[in-house]
Amino acid sequence: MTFRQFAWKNVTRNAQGYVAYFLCSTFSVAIFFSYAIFMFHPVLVQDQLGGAVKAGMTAAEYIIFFFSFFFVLYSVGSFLKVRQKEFGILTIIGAEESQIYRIVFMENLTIGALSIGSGLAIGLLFSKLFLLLSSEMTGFKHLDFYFPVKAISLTLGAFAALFILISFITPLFLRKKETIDLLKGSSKPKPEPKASILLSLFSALCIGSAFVLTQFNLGQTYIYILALGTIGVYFFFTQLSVYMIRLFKRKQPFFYRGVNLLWLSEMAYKVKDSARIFFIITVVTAMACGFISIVLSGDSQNKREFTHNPFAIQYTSYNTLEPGWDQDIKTIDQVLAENRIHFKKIQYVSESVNFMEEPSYPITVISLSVYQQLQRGYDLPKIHSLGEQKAVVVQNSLYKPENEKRKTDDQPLSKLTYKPFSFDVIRQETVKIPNDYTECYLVIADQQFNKLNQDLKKREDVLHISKVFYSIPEWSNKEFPKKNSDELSITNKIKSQITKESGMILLRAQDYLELKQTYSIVKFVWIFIAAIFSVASVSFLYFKLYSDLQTDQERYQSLSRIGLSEQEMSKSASIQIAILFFLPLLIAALGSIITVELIGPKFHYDTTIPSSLLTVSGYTIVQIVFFLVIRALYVKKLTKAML
Amino acid sequence: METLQINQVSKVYNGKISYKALADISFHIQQGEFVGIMGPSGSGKTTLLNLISTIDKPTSGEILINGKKAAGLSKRELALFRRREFGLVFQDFNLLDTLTVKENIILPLTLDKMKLSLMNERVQKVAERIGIRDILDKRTYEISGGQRQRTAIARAVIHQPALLLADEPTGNLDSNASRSVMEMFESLNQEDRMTTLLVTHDPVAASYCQRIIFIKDGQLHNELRRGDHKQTFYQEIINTLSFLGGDSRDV
Repeated sequence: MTFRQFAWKNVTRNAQGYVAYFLCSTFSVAIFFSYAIFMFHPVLVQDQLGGAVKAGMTAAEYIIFFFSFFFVLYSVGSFLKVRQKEFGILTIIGAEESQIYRIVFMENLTIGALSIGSGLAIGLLFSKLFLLLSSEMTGFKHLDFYFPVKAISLTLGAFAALFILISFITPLFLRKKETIDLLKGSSKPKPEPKASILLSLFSALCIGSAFVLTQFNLGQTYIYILALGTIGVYFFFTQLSVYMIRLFKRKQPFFYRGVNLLWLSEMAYKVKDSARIFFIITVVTAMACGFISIVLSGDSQNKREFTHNPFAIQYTSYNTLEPGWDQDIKTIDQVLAENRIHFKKIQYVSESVNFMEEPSYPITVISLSVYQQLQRGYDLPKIHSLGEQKAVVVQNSLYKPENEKRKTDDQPLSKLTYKPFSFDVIRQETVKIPNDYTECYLVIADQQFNKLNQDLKKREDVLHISKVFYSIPEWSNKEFPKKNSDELSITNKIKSQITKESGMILLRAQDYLELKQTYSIVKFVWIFIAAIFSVASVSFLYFKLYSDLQTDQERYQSLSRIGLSEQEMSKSASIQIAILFFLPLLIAALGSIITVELIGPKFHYDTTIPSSLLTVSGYTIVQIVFFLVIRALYVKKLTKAML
Repeated sequence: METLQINQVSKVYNGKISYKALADISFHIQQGEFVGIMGPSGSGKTTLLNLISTIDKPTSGEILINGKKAAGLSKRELALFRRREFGLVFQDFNLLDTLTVKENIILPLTLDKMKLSLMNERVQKVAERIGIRDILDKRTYEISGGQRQRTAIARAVIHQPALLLADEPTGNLDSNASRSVMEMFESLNQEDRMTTLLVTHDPVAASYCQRIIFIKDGQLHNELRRGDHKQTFYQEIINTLSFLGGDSRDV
């Protein structure tokens, strides 16, 4: 028997040992490939997607690849750990180190090649289904099956490189190990994991100060909060959790009760052993949940803006002094009339004024009668009448950066002066006007407004803004527009006929659909990534469990001899597995909910909590299903060891 | 009173070739006795021990512990039966290295959710008795083989079992540690009237018993009772063993 034959027989006769590694690799390839099929789809490539969306989609492919690398590397690691004894025996019977390295190298190449093949096959087999699913989720029609030459070559190239690299790295796992350690493998008793009190305190301090920082709103602080949180979480798993288990063990009434003695005594080992995996799982889960929450928040914000916007068309002209400035408005009226669409129009002039008391930004001044018209449409707080020198400040909080909002909240403006005009602010209101980027309105009496208007007309350094709002009863904002609706085809026509550079048009249905399309692609990509992370973190835990299986079986067998019942075994093992599954998830969920809520204002989101909760609970449900399956499998294996 | 009754017990392993491990074995052990079981390899000692400790079921016949039958109990009830009626000591100590000595000893009590104060009281008492009080907070890999076996004995007797079953307890120990462990069994038997059943190859260990039952090829062979002199008893054991197997490996 030549050495090569030996290596071959080693694989074929110990197939079970290689299956897990092979499946993980195949899974990585299939995922990467499926995503590539989606990304390179001709319909998407030709579509006028935003640059950010396309960049995001490419970034996702990088993330998948990066993650695949660590995933495969990790599965190789645990695969080799299980086989340490085998390498020990080979060394004893006189195999040279280089020969063992060669076996490992060749095995890795073989498994790599096989899994690229099967990954591509599986990806291709399910590509039709996958494209159907993605078409359903992204709203892109006609994501039909095509033969993905580009995707195949990308996958082939990327993973060939990956497996070759990994084949070179793996022998490093074996280096610097004495034969005796290889033979004993992981079965020798380990001293109790130690936790440093200082580092535990440091971890608590980091997490604590991150929480405290969330109470202040200082603009960029979320970066520090993220950094502190991440460091805190790392030391939470490596130190604080071990320390906390120790404290629990000192509580005799708890520790010395039922199966607690069994599972808790082992927990420190399991947590410490997998601290880095926990950390990775936590960060990755928090990231995936966070992104999905942001996208979902954006999506619901988009819906909210649509349903809260009573005006199907808004047109703004920024230069009413220009001759023929109302050309576009006439076009809109004309197109609507041609299509027999009834509409009501609110047209008004507003003035942007830099008041003396508030020099940092111009305030938009409107007359009371205009406000009253808008008030009915947007359902704003009512203002019945205003005295000559009186004014009401209406803050639009929707698009105001968080920190500025605070500033004006703290010191309400009481008087605004613009010579020769001067107004006493008698009321201050905060409202949310959808699709309106004006930060602050000042409402004054009509007479005063006319005077101001006359005065300003002479000046050229002031923007003379006119706005037109079309409310069209036929086009409801209670139902979301369909792609084949009248509203869309008519507004499309309008859009193509708009010519003015000094004008801006907002088309409710089109803006909504465009944003929705973007969100649904990003959502799809991130849900896909979250699904990968979810499966991958489950396999990390699975590997961890199975590398301990033999030790656990022996333990429970010997306990069973002295009268541990199967129910007690099952309870103890289930608690352990549950902690492995849900401790990282809990930390990740808290982390992502808090982070997203902090980042939310940057994207002008009202609140992100409902979206975060939805995301986190969805992810948790998936993990619970995985947990139930793996727990059942594992306990079944342990039951076999029971007498 | 009879602590253990074995009545016409047989055990057949069915396979391609059926194999009769035990054939029609009967013997009784009275409360407070210290009985040894010896026999050459393959004689059925381990099978017998497994049947007694309810890990395995007899093909026919019945086994009574304190007049109670284990047959017909569910798996869960069997585990509880084992936990409460027996104290088990093994060749490989069977201790958990994630637990301290004290935690190993009280493990059976915690599973029964005993009161904390009672547990602590009992563990102090038994540790005192077995002579391991100083190492209660040590981990099992920090102590010697003899100390480990004493820990196992402490765990086996802390709940005052009806029967102490020891399976080659000296198999992994040097002669000094073996002696002190066997003296511990003897003292538990004589001072605390602990009914003990010892399965062993080691004639020195066996010479601590009051009575030895020899089995060969799954059948009772003969029985030896200890007289006044341990040395004479030891000689008799050696003689019986060489007659039984002629296999000096077992001696």
